[in-house]
Amino acid sequence: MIFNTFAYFILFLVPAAILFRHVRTALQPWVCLLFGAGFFVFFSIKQAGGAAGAVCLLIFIWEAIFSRFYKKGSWLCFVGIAQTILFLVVFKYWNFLTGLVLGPKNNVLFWPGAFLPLGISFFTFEFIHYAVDRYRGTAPAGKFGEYMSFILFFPTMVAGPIKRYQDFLPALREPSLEWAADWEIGTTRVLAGLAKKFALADFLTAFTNHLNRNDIASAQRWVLPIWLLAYGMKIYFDFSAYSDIAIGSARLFGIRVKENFDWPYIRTNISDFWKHWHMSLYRWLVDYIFIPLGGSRCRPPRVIVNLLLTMMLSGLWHGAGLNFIAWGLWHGLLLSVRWIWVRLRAAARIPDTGLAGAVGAWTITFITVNLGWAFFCMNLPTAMFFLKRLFIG
Amino acid sequence: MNPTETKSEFERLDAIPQPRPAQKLLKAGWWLIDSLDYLGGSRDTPPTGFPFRGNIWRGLWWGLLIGIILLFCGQTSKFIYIDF
Repeated sequence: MIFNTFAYFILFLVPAAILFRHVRTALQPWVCLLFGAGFFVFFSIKQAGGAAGAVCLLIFIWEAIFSRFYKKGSWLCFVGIAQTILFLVVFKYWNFLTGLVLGPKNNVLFWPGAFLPLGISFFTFEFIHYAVDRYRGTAPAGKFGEYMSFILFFPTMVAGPIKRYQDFLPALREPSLEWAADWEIGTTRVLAGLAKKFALADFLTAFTNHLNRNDIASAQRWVLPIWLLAYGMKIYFDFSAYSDIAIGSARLFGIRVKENFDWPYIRTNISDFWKHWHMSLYRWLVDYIFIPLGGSRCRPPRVIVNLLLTMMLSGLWHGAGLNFIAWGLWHGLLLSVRWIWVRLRAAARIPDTGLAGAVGAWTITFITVNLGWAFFCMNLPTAMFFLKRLFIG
Repeated sequence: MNPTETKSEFERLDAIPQPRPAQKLLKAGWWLIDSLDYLGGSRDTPPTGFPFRGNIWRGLWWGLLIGIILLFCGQTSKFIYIDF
């Protein structure tokens, strides 16, 4: 839960933000660092792995020390990327991958006590970003304390927005001094996020709880799209509420974090949807997977492979399950169709079609995105059963 | 995934001549979005013509949000992305 607990506000956010505003600039990163470390240990013990989860703080310390050796063009950056991927694979995918290889019933390598360290999916992406950008020479080294405060900045540690060091460092060195405005807007953002979470996202749980095999089998067919749509709305309100609280919390420090959602459901094509849904992840995927694979400056079949691979990895990142891979591939397919359509349309010189065309494009985008949530919120057999019931009966 | 394609179809509509009701509808829609962004704290300044400005309205808005939070907070479900 974290952001919707009193402990978050009373023990961490308010004291850290006030202290951050009062200490000298040189000490500000250390305020972020100390409160971030305390936050990680506290919520790990309470919610993510217990004492073993709290020990994972060592990952941050190791990363901060190791990253000091990163230089432009250095092979150590690749070692840093590899070890970060290893952390992610061991904690998040161990049982999934060994299960795929050895079979779920004969998996002698099954780790019964497996746990997810708090925010591992997000902080590992920041580690990889830093290693890659140091290799490219596009990110400054910064000081030890500054980098530690970047990776341990608790408002964004657990579920983003995924930050970039080159954005964060100037904000950390020269945070906004407009106390009143920052607190007014930051508080509004936090309150709006909490209200969105409690009143909208949690309310929709009453509908989404039905997305299981038994209820799907016994439900009338017309109810099924309502349940799926409820999930689509729930995940939007839930995650955008989380991002609101994270961004509002950072604002209390005088640090501006980039937006993560910008009305994704009003977008009229899938590419646009992704530019406004979980924007920090989208930018990360483009910069660190899609473009290194060759991006869209390749032959068309290769571009399509790049899109499918990028989105498949995005799906896998969301969860260790075949359903998440299917969800990623679904979006890769949609993006590929969109990519082909844009080129065909340009070649055929089809003009913009006005409001009716936009409404049609929006309808297609909205339906296809929401159909995709079936793979996201149910395991693969249940999702296939849901879609079969939805379309065939 | 072409980063140059930044405008949505709806935004591109501004460049195309539209019937007057459609123009009005689009304008009202964008104004509503800007207003909600301001109320949600993701925009620092209200859009032109936004009626509820000033500290009293801000206080009332915070009161309403706190009321909603208190009313619904018993459900306490987890944030979905915490588990990722």
